[in-house]
Order: sequence, then C-alpha cells, then structure tokens
Amino acid sequence: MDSTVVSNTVSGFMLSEERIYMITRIALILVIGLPLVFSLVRLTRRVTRNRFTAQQTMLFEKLVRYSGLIILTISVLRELGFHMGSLLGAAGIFGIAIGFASQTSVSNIISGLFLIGEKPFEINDIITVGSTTGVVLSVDLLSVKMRTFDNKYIRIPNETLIKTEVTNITRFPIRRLDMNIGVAYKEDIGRVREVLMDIARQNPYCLNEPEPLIIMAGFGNSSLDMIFGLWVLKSDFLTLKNSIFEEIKARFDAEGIEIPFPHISFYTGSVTEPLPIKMVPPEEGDA
Amino acid sequence: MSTIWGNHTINENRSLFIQLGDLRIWGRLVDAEVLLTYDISQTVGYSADEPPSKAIWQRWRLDAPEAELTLAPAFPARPLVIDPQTALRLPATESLVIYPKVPVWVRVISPQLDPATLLELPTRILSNTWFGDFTSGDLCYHVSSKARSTPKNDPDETNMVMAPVRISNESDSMLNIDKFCLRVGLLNIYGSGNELWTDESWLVFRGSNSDSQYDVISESNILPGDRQVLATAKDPLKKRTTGKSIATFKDLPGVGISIS
Repeated sequence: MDSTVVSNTVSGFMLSEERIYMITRIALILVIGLPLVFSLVRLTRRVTRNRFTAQQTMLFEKLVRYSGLIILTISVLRELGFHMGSLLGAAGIFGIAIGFASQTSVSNIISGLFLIGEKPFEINDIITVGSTTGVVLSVDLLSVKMRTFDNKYIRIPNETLIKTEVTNITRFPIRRLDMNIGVAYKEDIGRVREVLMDIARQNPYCLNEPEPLIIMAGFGNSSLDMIFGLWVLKSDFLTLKNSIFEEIKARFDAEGIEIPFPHISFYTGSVTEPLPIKMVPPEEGDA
Repeated sequence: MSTIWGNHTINENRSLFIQLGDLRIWGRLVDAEVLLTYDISQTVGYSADEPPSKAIWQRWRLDAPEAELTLAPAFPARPLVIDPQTALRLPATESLVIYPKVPVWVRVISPQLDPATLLELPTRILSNTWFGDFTSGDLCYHVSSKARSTPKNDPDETNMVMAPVRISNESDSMLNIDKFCLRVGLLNIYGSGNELWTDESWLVFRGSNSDSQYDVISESNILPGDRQVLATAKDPLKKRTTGKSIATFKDLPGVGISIS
C-alpha cells in the first residue's frame, strides 16, 4: 500500500490524508457553526424580545438564522472545492432562467416587503381577510400564516393581502360591540333606554367611558329597532358579547319589556279593530 | 389606627373574619392548610362563621400550628378615573385642592409563605372605564366622588381613602374639569386614627394642546401630621411626569361617535 494513503478504511473506502483533513474541517465547521448560529438566534430573541414588537423580533431572528446558515453553507462548499465565482455565475444564469417562471413568487416577495414596511398588522393581531378571520402567526416574505379560531392553519400569499381589503380587528385597544335590538311598539322608549343603560352599568366588562350608545334605527315591520353600542377592551369583546345578550333577555323578561318576533296584523281599515279570529274545532268526518 | 390593618393570627380554633365595605374575607387553618375565601357584594345575609355557599375556597400549604396573616391597604394596578359628579371650573392661573375619596383594596399577606401576597381584593366592585381617545389610553376603574374642597371624615366609610388632589390651571383659559385620572400606583397609603390618606397628587394643566404635569407630594402640609405609612407606592414616582390627566368637556371620549 502507498505510504501516502492512510491505512484507515471507512465503509470500505480508502481515504487520503487530505480528504480526512477536509472532512474534519467540514465537521468542525458544522459542529461549531450550527450550535453557534442557533445560540446567536436565541441571543437575538432574548435581546430583542423586550425592546421590539413580536414581528420585529421574528425578523431579526430570521435575519440572523439565514445569514448564519448561508455563511456555513458557503464555508462547507468552499471546503468541498467549489469556487464561489463559478457558482455565482451559474446561479446568475440559472436565476434568469427561473426568473421568468417565478413571477408570482417575486410578486409575493415584493408584497411581503411592503407588508413588513407598512405594518397594517403584526404578529398576534386578529385580522379578517375576505371571509377568513384569525390570529396572525407570522409575516414572512412569501406569505402570512394565520390560525383561525377553529384551529385551522391558513397561509395567505402576500400578493393577495396587498390586493385585498384587510381588517385589523385588534389594532386599537378598545372596540364597540353593536347590537340590534327590537322592542314592541307598545313599549316606552325612555324606559327601555334606562333599562339598557343600567344593564351596561352592571356589566363588569362594559366600559363606563366611552359611554354606551342607544340609537333609534327605525320603525321595523314588527318592532321599534334600535342599536345598542357598548365599548369594551378588545380582550374582553367575546366575554361581553356572551354575557350581555343573556343579561338583556333576563332583564327585559323581568321588566316585562317585549322583544317581538316577526308578525303580521290584518286590519279592515285604519280605525277598526284587528279582524277577530275564532278557532273552530274540526267537525266529525273532516279529514 | 383601625384594628383591621396589621397582623391576625389564626389556628385550628381561631378563624378570621374581616368586613370592609362590600368585601368580606373568611380565613381558617385546617390540616396544615391556610384556607381563604371572600365575597364582594352588597348582600346583607351573611354569617361571620360561614361564608356564602357559592364562595370558592383557596388554600395554601403551611406546616405550622399558627398562621400569621397581615392585612394591608393597597391600590389596584390600574389608575382611577375620578368623576367629581359636578363639573369643576377653574379660572386661568388659579389653583384648588379637592379631597376625593376612593375605595381601598385589601392585600392579605402571609410572611410564612412565598410569595407572601395571598390575595388582593377590592372593597367595592368598580366599573371599567377608558381614559384616553379611541386609539390610545389607559384602562382604569371609574370612581364617582363628591371631591369636596374640605376633608370630611365619615366613620361609616372605613374602606375609603382620602386622596387629596391639587389642580393648578397654568393655561390662559378657563379649565372645565369633567374627570381626572388619579395614578394610585404612585401613592403611599397612610393611616391616621381611623382614616386612610394618600400622598397629595398635584396636577398642573398647561392648556389643551399640552400634556398635564403630574407630581406626588409626600410631605404636604394638608396631610395629617400623625400619619403612619401603611403601604408604600407600588410604582413610586422617580421624577415629575407628564401625560394626559384631565378630561375636559371638549375631549370627552364618546363624543363624535357615528354609526354607519
């Protein structure tokens, strides 16, 4: 056996000394580099978490992670003997070729940059896009990931978000819950108003200021329609919604205020009483 | 000094019952466990021996024959918005002192346990309110108080703290005070006889386009001379601060709402 060839055999392959050095260097790069990159990512998270928003923290983390991984990849490729100049040249030609085929991806990336810059929403915001409402999990270069309230994972391409109307439900600290309420025509509106305001005062989630609103919406087919608007902290919105309907129903029942269901009254003229209806039991032999 | 504040020892034979305002606390030591429950309501049918059936007990393991429970007055983590019931008008360059009374919170502490604070409870249920505009502000509790210009002690109001506030109008126009924000986290609580007092708060209004200046004066001559510190400020003021502290007629949140 040649003296330059080491007598070691690994899985049956003969390894030159130079190759063993190369494998050792690559292993060292990976063994030291990968934990170092992930440690840097953790350090970045720790440093930025309390100073920046969740979205910005995630961006810093990704920047550190991908930069580290790119540097490691380039280092490993160099050890394997690839020349970066030729690689980049090949990548340029390859890039032109795939550029035509990846217009959507490029559009998504540019849209993503706009979304990150414009910040119409951030991580943990609740947004509505089209018919989908959910919590934003991440804002990435290609897409936004959301979790819906029934625990579905939704990916929306950034291009779609730029073109679509997006509602950020949790942008501001307080929200108004608007309820449509109808009461019978016989009810005293002033008394109904007082009862509703008292219900709002008694509910611990309803904000005292801004004051609740009661606005007459019109004369409905079966009821006097009004809008009852209550201000609430955004985190208490669902709790208020759940509790206030029950409270209104219970209080209206206790106060004898009628919530009418849709009905039609037949009259024979403007000054006459409603048509009397007499229920007649079926005669024998009737089907 | 009120007998409520300070140390209370409970053991297998001696339980604790405290009533302050609408708050009632029951405490027991059973099988090396501290048991506490409470009720905050205006109901009258209750017993010192037996809490309401709906009350939920909380318990802490304490391997000792006796438990030391300390009751201290406290304030909530949120500011209080004081509604003086009748709007105050303060001419330009004038200053006034008012004495609103606000309900105190009760902190139950056990030095034998870690963390030592077991409960922190209000003596009256207060409604939430917002102090600010529609895009930013603070979640606060709403307190309606007559805010008299002279302090008036009411022996029945043992759960109320006198919180003197000096308001100075350094603007060149009339100040219409509809509500003001009392940042109770900055205030020490003192005991004087059966009364509770806080530091003096000083609000300086410099015009609707400028932030108000907020300061806390511990050595004020309007505070009782024999006062003793019962609770230190949760978040003591390190230097004079500025921010929105007074709501005037113009910027009442709620005005200008439209429904589409």
